[in-house]
Amino acid sequence: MAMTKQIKLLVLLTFLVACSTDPEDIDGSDSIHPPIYGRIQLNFPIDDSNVPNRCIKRADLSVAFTADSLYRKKFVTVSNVSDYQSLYEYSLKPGSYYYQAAKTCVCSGDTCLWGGYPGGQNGMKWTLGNFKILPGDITYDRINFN
Amino acid sequence: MNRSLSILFWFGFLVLGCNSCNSDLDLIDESSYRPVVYCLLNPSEANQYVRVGKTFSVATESFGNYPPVDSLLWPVEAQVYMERWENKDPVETILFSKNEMFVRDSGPFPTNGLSIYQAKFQPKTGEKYHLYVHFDDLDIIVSGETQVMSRPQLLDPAIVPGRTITFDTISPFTVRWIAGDYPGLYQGIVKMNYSELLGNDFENKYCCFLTPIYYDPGSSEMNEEKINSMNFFKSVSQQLKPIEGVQREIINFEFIFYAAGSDLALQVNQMGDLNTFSSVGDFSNISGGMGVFSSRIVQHVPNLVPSVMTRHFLSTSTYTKDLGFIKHGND
Repeated sequence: MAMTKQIKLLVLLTFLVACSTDPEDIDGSDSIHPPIYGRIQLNFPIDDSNVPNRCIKRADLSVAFTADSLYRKKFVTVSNVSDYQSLYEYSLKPGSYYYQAAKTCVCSGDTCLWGGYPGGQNGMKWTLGNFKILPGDITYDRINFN
Repeated sequence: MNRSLSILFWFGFLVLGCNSCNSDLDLIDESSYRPVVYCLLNPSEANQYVRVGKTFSVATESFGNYPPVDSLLWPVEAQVYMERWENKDPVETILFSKNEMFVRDSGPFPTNGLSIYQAKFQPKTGEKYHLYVHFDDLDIIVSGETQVMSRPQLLDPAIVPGRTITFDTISPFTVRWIAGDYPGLYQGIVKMNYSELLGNDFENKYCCFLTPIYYDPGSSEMNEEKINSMNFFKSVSQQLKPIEGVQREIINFEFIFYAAGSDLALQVNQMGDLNTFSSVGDFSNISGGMGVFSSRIVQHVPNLVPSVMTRHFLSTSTYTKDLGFIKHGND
């Protein structure tokens, strides 16, 4: 008989524990985890006005926390850039970031020199930019080579 | 007369009796061997090869051992030739001659136990070929037919000044190609060349990472296959062993792209599941024997530069941090 009482008490306690609600749960702030990552879409177009597009190849797109880190090659990520992909998307922790992008000209003759590529063929143009990542947001930026 | 018949009867009885007591058992029947013929036409090369061998018996106790050389060779020469067909008719016959000087890949089979036949011609995409291997003395002929696959256009990875290859957790490594008109199977190999310094011993080595096999029914659309970086690092950790005091440094990557012909691809497509592709040994399109007559194309992209992120992750990733790769910044 005493044993049955103990079992009932145990079952009751189990239910009480199971129904216990923390204040955090009631206001819902902890039941759905806030997003800890945001996304950035970097558009890397090939649109030189003086050089045919077939001569231009994407060479680099790297992201770092600071401009100084870019210089020191302390990157967050380095993209596998392609001539068949213009939009590059990253999922990153919130904060501010810097990126560097490079494109090269591979055509012979004066084509690349005329397009402003230092040294002509295989010369590279570089650019820098920055963006902010907000949790849960998707931001967009277009890479420009001045 | 009766005596002669009696002698003849007893003599015949004796002969039959003696033969019936012959206890030799022919465990390996010579006629049970089957020709094994492999030919992969390569539209990128000026010479084409046919490899001729035969099936062999494996004793249970020697299972796993290499077969002896003479168990793979036919005791007689074979006549090997191909016919190029157009509109259901043969229009050209190509004779193959035996090549004794051919340097064969190493492997479990003895390299001098396989006969190689060679002919000088360059097949073109879409051409149909019939292969015949005829053993005159044994009155055995095996045959097969195939259609030469189209050369895929490999788009990525590509060699571009300043471009690097990254394996990290954020940016995927993507292989891109356009298959062409005919069905095919496609697989890439990422070959990582690295140096290894242990004490005073310096050596250049490599390890390979295979991409999944991809089936394409034949199209002009671009295929994309993303490679998971963690799978790459895991593969590296499975091939390299941690050694106390070793210093390893990545040199570069190479990318080798294999395209296998329509015969193999159609067979795999019939199976309906690329995961069962490992049973290549069961596939044969050779009549009267075993083997494969198909086509393949191999493309090679050398000297792809690893990015600093790849170097960083090789020295810090969960899988590879104990392998002695030089830390980024210290190199």
